[in-house]
Parts: sequence; structure tokens; C-alpha cells
Amino acid sequence: MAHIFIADGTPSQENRTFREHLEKLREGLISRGHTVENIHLAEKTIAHCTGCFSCWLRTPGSCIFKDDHVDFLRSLLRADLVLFASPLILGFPSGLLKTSIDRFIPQALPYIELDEHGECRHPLRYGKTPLMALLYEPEKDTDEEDVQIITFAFERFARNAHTRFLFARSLEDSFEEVYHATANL
Amino acid sequence: MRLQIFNGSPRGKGSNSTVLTRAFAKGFFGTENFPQEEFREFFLANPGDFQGALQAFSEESTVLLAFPIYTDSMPGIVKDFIEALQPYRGSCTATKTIFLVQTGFPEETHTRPMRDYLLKLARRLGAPSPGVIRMGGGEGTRNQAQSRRGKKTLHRYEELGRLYAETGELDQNILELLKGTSKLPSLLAPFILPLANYFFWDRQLKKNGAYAKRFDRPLG
Repeated sequence: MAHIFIADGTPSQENRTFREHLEKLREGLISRGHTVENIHLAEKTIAHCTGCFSCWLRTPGSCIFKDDHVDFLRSLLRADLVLFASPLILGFPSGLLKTSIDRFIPQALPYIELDEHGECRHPLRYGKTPLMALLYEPEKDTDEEDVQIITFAFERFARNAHTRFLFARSLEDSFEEVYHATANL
Repeated sequence: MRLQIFNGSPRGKGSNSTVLTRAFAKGFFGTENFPQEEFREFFLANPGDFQGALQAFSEESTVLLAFPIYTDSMPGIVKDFIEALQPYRGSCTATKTIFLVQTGFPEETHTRPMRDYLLKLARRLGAPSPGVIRMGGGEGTRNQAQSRRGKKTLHRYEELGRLYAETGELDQNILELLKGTSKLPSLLAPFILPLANYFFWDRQLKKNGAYAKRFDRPLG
């Protein structure tokens, strides 16, 4: 059974429908024997990355901002799978979620190496990153092209983080794909 | 013709994006003294600029929205700004929107997802877009402006700006030159990367007294 981290990037506390879907999913995952932890990012204080590189060059592995983001990083290190969750806003997950993802970089080293396809990436500081997936709430005009674009961006992020992106899935659909993907973790 | 720069670098004024967008503006206006009534520059990392930027976005002009790639897409501050544009959906018909995305990695593959996203975003906003300027190997441009390589890069941005002002289009040849390589040459990479790691990273780590701690794992 797997340890699953749900990083909920819903910006508004009022988005009850999305929260209710997430809660049902969480219960379903627990009933299948997984352990699940949630972080509601809107309830946390998380500063924007300023690109200062202190976490690489002055205090390796530690961000200059001493805020709640360290909980996000610890949860990533514990997890077998991280489920990023967010409504789409103008075709992409929330700035709240993206701000948290930006501050992944202390988990990497500054050095550059080639991946198995011969492209540049950074080595990992801790040697592991969980598998990744995205649960989204579509907008009225979300179409297949949007899903392809988002999937492409998250696949690139996963690849550069030395892991795999499993799927992008609307939370309005059945949870079966999520359950199926987690069954063999 | 008005040019408005929306600088989405979290580093603000001291960023590579500033150097690159100002080179574009220099070519666009044909001078380094940008005419005040036709040029505006907003730094999205500066909270004091945010509201003004939001208001200015829908005004008739050419907009240049520039940012570095952070974890394979836009930085959080840029996404926050994009979200604030929601009321403008479909109505930015007078905003010619050029995008500039740059990454420290040399390969052009790292900027592809944002190219696709930004072109779709422009359609959502109803903004005509002349295109996306993509740049590989952009980290350090701000420190290399006087080097031969830096001057060459900035000259290309000036030319892009100049030709855009003349034709209303981004020069495809220059875009190709800027976007980055498909891959580092496989025979050279084993020599280039250790040198880059030493000169770019190890020297700074040593200068900061952090070299011995470079592999630290503070989260255990």
C-alpha cells in the first residue's frame, strides 16, 4: 500500500464542490488501504520563490523563507505519490499551487547532468521524488488541448524531477483511474 | 506605437528578463531613451506594480510579457497575474501580446509547454499574438551583457524589436537562433558540463563558504 500526499491548491475556501470531491477521493483511497495526508495550501503561508539561489549556494537545501512550505517538502519526501489538486484558472492550475511547486528547487542540487535522453537536468538532493499526478476542476471552456498542454508541462516537471507523471484527471470524472493507478504502488 | 513590458521575473529589476526586454525595447524605439508617453514597464514581483499592470494590460498597445521558466512553467507570481486577467477574457482585442520565456538549460524542449500554453492564453483573452520568443541558456545573461556572447544575444533582441516595430511581426530567423539547441553535442557534453558546474556553481559555493555543505539534507 502507498503513502499518498494530496497537495490541494484550491485558492478559495468557498470552492466547496472541489473540496467535497477531494474528500471523497481521500476516503476512497484510505478504504483501499493507502495512507493519505492532505495539505490545503490556502491555509498556509507560502512565499513566492525569488530566484535568489540561496538554497543552492548559501544554505544548501534550505530556503531563505522560513514559512509553512517546509511541510510541503517533508510531505513530498514521505510520499510514494503526490496528487496535485487544483481548479484550472485560465487554462492552468492555480498560482497558489504553482508557487508551492516553484519552491521545489531546494530538493535539487545546482549541478547540471544529462538525463537518460541526453537532456540537461539537476541531480536530486535526497535521491527520490514521488510519482506525480494532477486532479483538476475544469473551467467551462476546458478542452482536450488544455489537458494536453497541462499534461505536457507536468510531464516535463516530473522528468526534470527524476520521476514520472501518471495522469491529469478531472475530479468531475470517475475516481477509477486514480484507484487503478494507485493499486500497484 | 506603445510598448508595455510586463516583467514576470521573481528577481524583478535585477533579472535576466529586464536585460532582454529592454534590448527589445531599444530596437523597438530605435533609442535607449524610451519615450515616456509610449513606454511603460511593470515588475510583477513588485506588489506596488500589480494593480497598475492589471489596468494597463487591456489598453491599446504591444505588450511584452516576459518570465523565466520555473519548474517547467510560469513562476507563481506570473500565474497570479494571469488569474487576475480573468475579467478580460475575450476582450483584449487591442492588446498585441508577445511573450518571452527563457530557461537556464540550453535545450529548447524546456520552453515548449509554455509556448503552447501562452498561445492558447492569448486566444482566451482575445489578444492577437505575434508569437512567443523562446530562449535557451538564458541564465546569466544579466552578468554577461559586455561579453561577446552577451552582446550577440542582446543585438538579436534589438533586431527583433526593430523589425517588429517595422513589420508588426517577429522575425522567424531570429526566433530560431534564440530558442536553444535540440540537444548538447553528445561528444562535447561530458567535457562542457563539469566545467560549467565548476565555474558556475562550485566557485560560488566556495566564495560563500558553503562548498562543504553543498550536499546537505536538512530535511533528513
